[in-house]
Amino acid sequence: MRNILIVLFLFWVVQGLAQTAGTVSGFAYDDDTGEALIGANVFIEDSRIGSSTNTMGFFSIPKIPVGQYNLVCQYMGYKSEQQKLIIKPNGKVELIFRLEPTTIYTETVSVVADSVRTSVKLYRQPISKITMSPREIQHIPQVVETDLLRSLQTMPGIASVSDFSSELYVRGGTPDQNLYLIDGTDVYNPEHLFGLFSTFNTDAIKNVELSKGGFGAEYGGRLSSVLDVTNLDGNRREYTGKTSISILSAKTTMQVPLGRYGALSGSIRRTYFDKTIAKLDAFKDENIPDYYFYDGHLKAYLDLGAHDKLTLSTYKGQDNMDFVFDKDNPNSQSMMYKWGNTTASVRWTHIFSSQLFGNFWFTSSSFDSGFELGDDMNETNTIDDRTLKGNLEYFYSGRLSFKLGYEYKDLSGKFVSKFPGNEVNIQQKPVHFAAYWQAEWKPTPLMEVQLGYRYNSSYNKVTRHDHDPRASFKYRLNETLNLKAAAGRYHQYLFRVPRVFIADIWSVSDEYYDDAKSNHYILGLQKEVAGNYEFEVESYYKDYANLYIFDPFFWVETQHAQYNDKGEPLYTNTKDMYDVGTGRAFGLEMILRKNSGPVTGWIAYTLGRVENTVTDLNGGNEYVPRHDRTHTLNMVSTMDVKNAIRAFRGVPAKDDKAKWRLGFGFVYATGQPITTTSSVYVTNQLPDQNVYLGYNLYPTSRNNFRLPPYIRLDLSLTYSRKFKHTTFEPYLQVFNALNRRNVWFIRYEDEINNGMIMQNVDTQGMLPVLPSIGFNLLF
Amino acid sequence: MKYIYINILILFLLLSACGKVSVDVDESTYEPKIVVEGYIYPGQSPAKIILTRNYPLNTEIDLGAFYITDANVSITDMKSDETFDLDYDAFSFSYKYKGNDFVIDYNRSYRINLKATIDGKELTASCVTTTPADGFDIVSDESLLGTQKYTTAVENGTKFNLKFKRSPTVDSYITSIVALDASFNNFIEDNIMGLSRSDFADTTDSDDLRYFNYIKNQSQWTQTRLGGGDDLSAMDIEWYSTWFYGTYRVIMYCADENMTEYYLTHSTIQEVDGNLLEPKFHFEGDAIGVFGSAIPDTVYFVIID
Repeated sequence: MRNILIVLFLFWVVQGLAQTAGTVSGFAYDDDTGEALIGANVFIEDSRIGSSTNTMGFFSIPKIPVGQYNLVCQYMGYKSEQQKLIIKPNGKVELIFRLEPTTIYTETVSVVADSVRTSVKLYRQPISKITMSPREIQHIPQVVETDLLRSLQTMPGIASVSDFSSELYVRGGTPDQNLYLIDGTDVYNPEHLFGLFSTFNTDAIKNVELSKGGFGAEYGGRLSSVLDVTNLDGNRREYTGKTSISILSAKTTMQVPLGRYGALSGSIRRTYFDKTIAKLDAFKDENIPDYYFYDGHLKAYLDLGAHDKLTLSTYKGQDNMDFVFDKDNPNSQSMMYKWGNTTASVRWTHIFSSQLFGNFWFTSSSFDSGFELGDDMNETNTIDDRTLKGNLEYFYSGRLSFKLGYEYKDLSGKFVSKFPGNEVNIQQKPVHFAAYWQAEWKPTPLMEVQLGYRYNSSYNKVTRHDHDPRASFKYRLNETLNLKAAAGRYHQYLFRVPRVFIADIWSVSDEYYDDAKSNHYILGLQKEVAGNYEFEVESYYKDYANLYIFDPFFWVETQHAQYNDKGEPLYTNTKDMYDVGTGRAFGLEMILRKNSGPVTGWIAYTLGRVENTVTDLNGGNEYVPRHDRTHTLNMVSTMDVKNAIRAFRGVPAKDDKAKWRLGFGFVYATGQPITTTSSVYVTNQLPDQNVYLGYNLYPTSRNNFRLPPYIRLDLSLTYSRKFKHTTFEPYLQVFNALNRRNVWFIRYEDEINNGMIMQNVDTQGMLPVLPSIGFNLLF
Repeated sequence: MKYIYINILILFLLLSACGKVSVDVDESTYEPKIVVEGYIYPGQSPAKIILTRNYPLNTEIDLGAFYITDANVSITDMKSDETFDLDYDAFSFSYKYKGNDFVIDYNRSYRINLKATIDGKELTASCVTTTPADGFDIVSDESLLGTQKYTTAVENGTKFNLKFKRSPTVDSYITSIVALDASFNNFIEDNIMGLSRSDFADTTDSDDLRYFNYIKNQSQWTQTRLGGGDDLSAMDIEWYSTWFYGTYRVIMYCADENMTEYYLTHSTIQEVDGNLLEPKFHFEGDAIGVFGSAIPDTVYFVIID
């Protein structure tokens, strides 16, 4: 109570003495690497006056009363640092914190608790935001190698549809409703190997933030979530690197200091199925396609002065597949398929004053895929995005700050396909503009209100204007308990034609399809439990209007307006491509998480429901989509074995040179809904072909059957040995250690004997037990 | 002690999750349907309207005894509003009009009316088809038919080709390509897709037999602009539609909407990820399948080794 009174008094003083106050601003960096620290807590000792660093590590605390203070900077896993702060009337002080990582933090999975209360850390996070450190991602057991999107699938509210897909279904939304950003640049199809792996190289990642809903006005263009990935800026102190080899790929990441000018980081990864498996004796008689993917990034972080930073970033990922049906036949058909993303961005950060901070981007993102089957069948699918965007953050006082921003997108989408009998040539050149403002107000130290508004305008043959109000609220109910709420409206002007085992196609709202719309309502509680456990409960409700579901038979019914030179139908627009409907998703999420100590991890549970009603689907009746999951339970844990034993014995933790680390992941999810057959029947496909080619299936109502529950246990064991300048880490991972053949779908087969058809129902399983080995080399 | 029980319980749960997972498909959604396979052709009386039934999964289907023989079947000329009853013909296992005063006309709508009892339940259904307008015809003189040597033609990029006049009301053309001389011995071993004759070598195996029938009975679909002008449309016979040396019968159907949508959707309803789509049938009531109309035209070509 006494502290609260002091705090309230200080705030009264702050307001009353504004004219005789000053401002402190600056940056917080990792002392070892020079990397900016995102979300570090900077505050005046023994007060609640403070701020957090933004994505560039910048902080600003305006209107501090004249006087002498201790300014403290804290960040999880780093030693806190204090600096003397002298505020003179209208004074502007610039400080730089260089926080030293705690030794135990850098070397093991064990994380020492820092001095920031768990409940305070939770309070600082925006509602429904998941942060995941690269270290956590590295230690979650995966399919062969670490993967960002698969790691996020272990979090509450995020579902996957199968082992073969790393796509994220966030709170009932579909993957096309997620905005993927890498260094501020949109990424359109972030998947390799038909979705089995994501395009993000986890060794190159510095920071990951996923907003599952209720996000602020600075983000738009998608209905469900925002995944914002920041790659490493580069080590500014010394040359460092990491090399990893698994049975799938080899990859390396390097960071190079550029003296006082900044740093450079880069990574490259390539798979080598084509060089290994296809050459094994066991597969020498198999006609395995030549397939590989590679990706890499290069990023330069440049200090142009105390007030100007420049970041240049580029990424390229490419999948290549080449398949000859009969390699011994010179006339054999062959199939070639290539797809990939290319992004580039320039970001200029300028500090206009100690209270005004700005970021300006030019970004370019392209996705293209090309398919060829013989001479007559080919397809080109591209989307190009050129974006200019910027934002200004103004720190008016310790209680009030503003953010203003804009975004201009020049898009170009092309889908050209030529197959015998038809031709598609859809080209769209839409333009999108958005402007937003956002105010963050702290009426008391225990309460925070954020209000925002985003205006969207899109042009693609018709012009549309959308207005998106956003609001969120945070309140500290007591020292250990926080209340959070958010609501907002979201619009989306890009839609995806999902395709299995081939790249998705994007189309844009046009004269046939209006922008899709969703409203989010979220309420949550956060509780600090037993000091360093985080417990969060969130409930959400989302509604959808103009929900577009691709109609796979649209080409059957379309009345053609144009024909090509051969007289074949020519599709030049998206008319009839989608069925239109409404939907809603609601649920309850819980997570208990421990980030410090020799054993870390989380237990997450989601109770969810998704319902769609779409014209021309399921007779216009409501149905649950395939990604609906009633219950999902995830348990993820990593253990530093030696220190866990020490903790069990009551012995203090040590920084061992040789460590054993155990990883554990378990998931239980309600079986996915699927459409089954209600009956079978026998007909010929054409009147003159009177032969039995199998029975036909007549489906039930859409997705009316639940497959058995999805259950999977993953394990990993890593040995880490540190030498003078290098660390060597061999590891073993076992995906699906129980070898449970989770059901992907149902196969129907029949057999004819003596004029009688015998029917068999079988299941198509997902991935079996999949052990893999590899090693990391850190230098 | 309680921790031991908890650990045993967890271990039991984990072990019970191992291995293959079985699925029992719930059959409670089964509803009997009349299965229709019927086409009418301008210039001909209605014939070969086949009626069968559907079955729940895991039912033995006797292909020799699954025809509905006692249904009430009639066709209504929707222009004259006259209705003609069809009778069951035991020889062809189908319904036909046995009189000589009802011939299907071009560009005219007809409704089939069905009434049958299955599993003790009386079912009724109807479906309307509009026959294509006259005008479709394969122009053999302009088409590339005759005889071609397989390897030479593939190397040269030459394909059999149909040139045809179009109906003014229909843009859909389905082509049935049947290898009349198909056999194990005259399979094109050097085919462009790398298929092997060993895939259908066992004539006693139902899967092999089905596969043989599948590659013997191929089809292609094309859409083109409506007819009316003097220009011809063209369709290539792709080399992945021919797997045997010998003579081929090619029937091109100028097909109405019902026939087209049945052909395109009835057997392709299972997506790559296993889910089932709704086929595009046009029946009202308790029937599935097809009642369509078409103008057929037939040509032949030969592939030699």
